[in-house]
Amino acid sequence: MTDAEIVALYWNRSEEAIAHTMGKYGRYLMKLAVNILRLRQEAEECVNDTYLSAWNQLPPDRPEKLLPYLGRITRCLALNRYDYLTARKRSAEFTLQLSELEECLPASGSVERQYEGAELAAAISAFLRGLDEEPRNLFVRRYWYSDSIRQLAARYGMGESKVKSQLFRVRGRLREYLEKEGFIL
Amino acid sequence: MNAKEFYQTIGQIDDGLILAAGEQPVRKKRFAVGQWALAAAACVCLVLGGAWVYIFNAPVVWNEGAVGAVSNSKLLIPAGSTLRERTEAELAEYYQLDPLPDVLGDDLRQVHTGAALYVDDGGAVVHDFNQVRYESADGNRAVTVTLSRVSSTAPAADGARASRIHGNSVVLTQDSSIPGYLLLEARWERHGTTVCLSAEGLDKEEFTAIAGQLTGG
Repeated sequence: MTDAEIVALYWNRSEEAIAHTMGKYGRYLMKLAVNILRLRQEAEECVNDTYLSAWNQLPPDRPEKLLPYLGRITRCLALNRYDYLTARKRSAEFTLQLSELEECLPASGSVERQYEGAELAAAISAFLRGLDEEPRNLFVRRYWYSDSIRQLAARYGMGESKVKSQLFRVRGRLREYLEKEGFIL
Repeated sequence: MNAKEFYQTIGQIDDGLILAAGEQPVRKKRFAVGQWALAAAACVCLVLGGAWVYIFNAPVVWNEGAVGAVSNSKLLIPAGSTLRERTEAELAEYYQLDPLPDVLGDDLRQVHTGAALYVDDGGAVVHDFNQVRYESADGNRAVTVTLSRVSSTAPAADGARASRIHGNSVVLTQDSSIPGYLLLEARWERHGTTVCLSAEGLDKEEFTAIAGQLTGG
């Protein structure tokens, strides 16, 4: 079933929409939530909440592609649960990802510029589009899909050290790019 | 802005970038002579393995696919239906199965029984997912048994092959897409009831033994 057909089911308030979403994207959402939370039971609740959120948002939303749409909801929900898990020291891998991202934040003292989240996201998208395919996908897999270094190494058939060094370079270039664009974060 | 807020902002990047990174990468690798020999040997093993399966009808076949597509999400409960709680014995009668055991395998004990059916105004059952969970004492190993007769479960993956366990046709699925999180699932039907067994922290041998225990072995 296509995304458009599933979205149409949501708009018609058909409960089959949930079943088809589970069948097509359940595994992907589960992986995304587990990558962030590392606890299957928490991740399952997070994915169930994603279905509930999609049910409540479709309509009025009518996304063309469900994968990024649902994934954004799952990421957001997982991030909310992350604070609680951090207190119990259960998600060291994701904590590492966040500490890596601090390297991308431009130093204060850059030229100040008013911006909103969407504008910054657009700038990051533009930066990523200018990268070669491999480092671009590595970055997105690491910081959007929250894949571990080990998962990335297996996925792209390269050593973990190469993954780390590529990500390190991309983070550095992103920081330079944002500073050059005048973002102060 | 801190790293967490920055992570949230990355969530808003273009769909195209997300979809492109979601595709399976194409690996361009040149095979050395040794690798070609290895590939040829693997082919021979595959042919011999296939012959072995054909001749001896190997009973257990694991399919690779999504595990966890069966959910007890409350969203699946039809609006306007009424909850009817049932005793364990009434539930067993409804599903036309023997009551589930208190212990599965060596040490997995039943920890939760949600015995309920949802009926419409006319009394007809419209939602009948019921899940029974078993856990080891340390909480590291668990199985969930999901029963349903009218509630539809997500279909098995295309081309999924069934195994024979104690004479019953059982579809076994493994999900190894997340390193370190091997998930296992077994599904079968009996007297019109769909039984779905899913596990965390179990190896395949223990899992199939438990599936055998539940299928009547």
